[in-house]
Amino acid sequence: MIGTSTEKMDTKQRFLNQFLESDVLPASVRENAKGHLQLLSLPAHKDEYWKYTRPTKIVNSEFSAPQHHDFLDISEFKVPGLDAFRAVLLNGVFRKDLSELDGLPAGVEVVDIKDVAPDSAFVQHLDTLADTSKNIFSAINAVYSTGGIAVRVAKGKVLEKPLHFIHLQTTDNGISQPRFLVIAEENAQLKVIQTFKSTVATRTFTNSVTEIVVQKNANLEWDKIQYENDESLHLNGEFVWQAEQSNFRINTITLNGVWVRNNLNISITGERCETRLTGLYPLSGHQHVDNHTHLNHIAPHCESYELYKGILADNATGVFNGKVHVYQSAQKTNAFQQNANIVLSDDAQVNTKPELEIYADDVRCSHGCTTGQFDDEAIFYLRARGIGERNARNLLLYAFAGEVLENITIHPLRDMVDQLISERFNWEM
Amino acid sequence: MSDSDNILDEITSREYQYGFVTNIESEKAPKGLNEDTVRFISAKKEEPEWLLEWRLKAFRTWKTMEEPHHWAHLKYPAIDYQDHYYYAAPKPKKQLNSLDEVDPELRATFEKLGISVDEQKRLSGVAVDFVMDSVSVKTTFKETLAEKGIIFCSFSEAVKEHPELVKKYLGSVVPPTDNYFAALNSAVFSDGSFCYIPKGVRCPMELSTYFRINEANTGQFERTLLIADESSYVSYLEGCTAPIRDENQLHAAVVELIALDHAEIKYSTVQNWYPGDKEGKGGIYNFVTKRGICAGKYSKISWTQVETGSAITWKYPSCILKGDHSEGEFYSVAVTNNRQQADTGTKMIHQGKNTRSVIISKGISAGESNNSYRGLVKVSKNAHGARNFSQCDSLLMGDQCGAHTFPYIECHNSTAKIEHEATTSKIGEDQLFYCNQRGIDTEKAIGLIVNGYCKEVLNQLPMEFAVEAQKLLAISLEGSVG
Amino acid sequence: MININNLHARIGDKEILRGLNLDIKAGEVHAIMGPNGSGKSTLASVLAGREDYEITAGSVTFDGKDLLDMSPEDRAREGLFLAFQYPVEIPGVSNINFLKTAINEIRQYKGLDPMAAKDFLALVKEKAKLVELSDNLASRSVNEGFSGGEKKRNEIFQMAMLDPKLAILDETDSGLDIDALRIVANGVNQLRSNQNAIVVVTHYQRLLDYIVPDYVHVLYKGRIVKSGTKELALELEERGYDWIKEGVEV
Repeated sequence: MIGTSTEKMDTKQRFLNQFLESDVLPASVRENAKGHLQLLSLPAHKDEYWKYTRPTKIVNSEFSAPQHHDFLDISEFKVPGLDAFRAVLLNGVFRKDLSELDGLPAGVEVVDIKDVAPDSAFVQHLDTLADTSKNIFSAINAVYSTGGIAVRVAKGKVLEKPLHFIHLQTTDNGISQPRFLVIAEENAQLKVIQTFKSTVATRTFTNSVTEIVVQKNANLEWDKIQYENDESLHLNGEFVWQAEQSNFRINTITLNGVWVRNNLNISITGERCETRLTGLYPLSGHQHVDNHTHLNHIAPHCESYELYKGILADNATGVFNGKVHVYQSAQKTNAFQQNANIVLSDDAQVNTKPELEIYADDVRCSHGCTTGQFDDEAIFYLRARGIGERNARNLLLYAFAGEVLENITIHPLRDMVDQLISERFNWEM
Repeated sequence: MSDSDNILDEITSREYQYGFVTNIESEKAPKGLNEDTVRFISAKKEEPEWLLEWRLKAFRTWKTMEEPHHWAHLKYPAIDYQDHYYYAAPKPKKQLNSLDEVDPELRATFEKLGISVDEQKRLSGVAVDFVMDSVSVKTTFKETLAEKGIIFCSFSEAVKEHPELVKKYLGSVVPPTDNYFAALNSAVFSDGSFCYIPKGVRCPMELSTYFRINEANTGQFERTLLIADESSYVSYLEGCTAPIRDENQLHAAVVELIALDHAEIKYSTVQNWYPGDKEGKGGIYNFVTKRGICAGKYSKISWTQVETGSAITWKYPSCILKGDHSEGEFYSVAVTNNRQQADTGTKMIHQGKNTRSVIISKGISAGESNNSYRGLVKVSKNAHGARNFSQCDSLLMGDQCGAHTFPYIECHNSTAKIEHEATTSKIGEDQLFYCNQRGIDTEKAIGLIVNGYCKEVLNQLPMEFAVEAQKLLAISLEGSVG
Repeated sequence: MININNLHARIGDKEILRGLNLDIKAGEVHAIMGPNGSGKSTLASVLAGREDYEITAGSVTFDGKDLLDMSPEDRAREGLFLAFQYPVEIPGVSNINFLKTAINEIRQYKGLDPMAAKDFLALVKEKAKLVELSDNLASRSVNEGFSGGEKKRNEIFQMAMLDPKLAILDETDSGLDIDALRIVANGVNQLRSNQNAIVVVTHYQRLLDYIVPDYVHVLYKGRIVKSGTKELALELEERGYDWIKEGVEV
């Protein structure tokens, strides 16, 4: 939408003034984004896309310039017991010196996004998915990008060890605007872990944009763990493009943040693709997490499965807005979408909006959502077997979360997430 | 082309059966909308000062509001509100004392609709309050109802005869500033129905109103106010048809229901306003605000709607469940064909303890139409033990149409249980073949399957209305094969 | 009653019926047997008019009329009934309403008035007994939530209600236990008369113990390769199909 009132422009300009212009992305991308950014305005009060999660909190916050570290010990941010390649982004800047990328097999590139060659496959795809012309936060990320990583797994290559993006925020009220580009070429395969962690307790802001290209018959599995701090503001835009017979799975685990918005956009453009989106948001305190997924079924004969689960304690708010859009061309689509929530406190809330938009008639689409509390019968049953009430509840909560967590196929990562969740809720795992 | 393609083709080429114009000289307000229009209407209806002020206040608010375009899944050209007539009354030839005195032409109109007054009166015992354009023509059975203390009259009559009730409840459920179309209605509403069921009274018959838009370019802005006092019960039926017109006609009604302790209101609507032709030309724009409040404990409001008409439908019959243990229900069938667009659903606002709601929505899309369910289930912080179950199914006929589901669920209480399910399906080739093999042709088979698909909703309608609704579904979808 | 002459049919590129000949007269019961994939169910579907199949050659006359020229519903109205191997579920449409519609459509086709509600209900009661179908099953949605056995009994119940000239039972015995099989067969036998004819398509001889056929045909590679009496069925049960296949290959 085009902003007209000067007041709106002032707010926008004030917001933008906090960021430093960058030279991270190629000049053509930045110039293009700059043009869009001039026309785009911050989401209006009644913007349906931002219902339940108004961006006022980020727009009205003040941030500081990043702090520089010569060295930082990253060992405590690794996944314990996991043999992986690691790429570190410190305060939004790629740090090759802190990364562990030696021994990457031939055909696998993990490079600073700043260094991508103009004639490379990267440039061909860079900023083609992020919707910069319409999405103001993508445009901001393009113009003010703090750094980023580009990954390419060449045709037929399989990366055996997971690739772990470690994103660290160490600056009080710091800003990070990373850009990720991952290309899995035909018949390639890889697993990515993306962790967002903060070492400070103040209100930091992350505006991350990730573009993912999954080409024919490629297989990409993505685990995203957000555990910055209870005050962090986190905006995450993922834009995924799937070609025929490709397989993409993403698992989004959000453990804290005072304002977290995950915008996951997937376009399924080739036949016989499989797509799996799962997510868990166990929240407490004053946390607010919004998972906004938009699944575009454009090609026929594809299957998608979506399951998001929330556990809301204290004053926490969970939002789920999932849209499955089946184009007229996408006959024989089989789409399933489910959102389930447990509300543990009367001060917590859940807002959910599972949407189906269907233009093809020969499809099987269903969605469901439930919001509720514990099954009293189940609790009673457990207590009757001698399990204390607290443990009985924990047992059921863990079983509830388990349906999402079991999608993490990397065992050390699963253990780490279990550990994080149990620390948070005092669950017995 | 397969058999079912043929059927779909015939369906899409159907003409509206109820398109005819009744030729009665009418008395119109000048075209356009300003404070003078509002004053004209109010003066025409000999309204008290407070009501004029109420209208003007609504009008002034309306002028500051924006038409809601940002969320509904509807596309239509901008409406020129100055290009409509806001008041049209059929000129009464003389004061009517009995049914026999009703204008013969008007009577013929109703006969064409299949609701002959005499037959209604004689056979079904239904009290009918006809609304022809804006003025209530004749109310039957009023005397019978009066014996029980039931008030059932036109809105203008209620303003004169029962001002205290009108003043107390008008705008109490749908405030004049609630939304753009409600504000418009509040400013220019011309007439409608008023109903009051006293304490402990079970209304002995189904109350019924037929609305009809007749005058070209006349927006119809009727207003219904229905109050069920403690421990009373009423079942209210509303049916609508409009003749063929080329320009789109605007319709923005407001319905307010109030159920006090232990009271129950059942409100059923069959809507088949003119949907426009095959190319999407003409048709009614239907922007309706319907809301009921279960104000008292153990009260219940049940909405049932069968929506087959209108070019644009924007309608969300809702329940505010304020009383503890109160119940809200919404049963809906919405059919869209050709270029029709519907964005309809409900809002269930749980405020009281142990409140319950059920939503059953069945959408059927054919032709190049778009049919959206949009519903809100909101459980407030203090609504302990609230329960909701929603089932929203879509049936697609052909691959040029769209079926969409936009449920909003907002839960602020830990003891609430909310369940929502939605499915999408089409009529299967194997189902049609099975019917064919038993001697049932494809058209009839589609009718059978569609009625079966809608059964949960149709079952909620009173018998004679259910039959009419089934016929309407058939008319909207089946076409005349062979 | 029905005369099938040199019938060829295919689905997509695959030719399934390759010159099938069969002549059935009123009062007869024919069994069609054969190994998997020989074309048994295709024959049933083609006769009922399923559109997935393309008829490439041959003719079928039914009571002197060209059957292949008729729509599926007209074939049914002329008196051809197919008991489906997999009866489809139609949610929300009650068995009673479904049958009433079917009967009245058929009557209308024949120029008869709709059946009076009273007569219809009496007929339902009478015919439901035939296959031991409980009243409540009749009021449930067509086949929805029925067990396999109930579905098959419902098919025979519908057959009894519609009183066809020619009934084709497509693997009606599949998935039935012995009790259900007896009930189904019993129902069919009571409907046998010298006015109608029945074609039993089956893989197993067992059903023929209960519905005794006048003729048994073996279908193989889309043609009837051997015909006989009920003894042939017993022989097939004992020896399998290999000897017949060998005979054909040679």
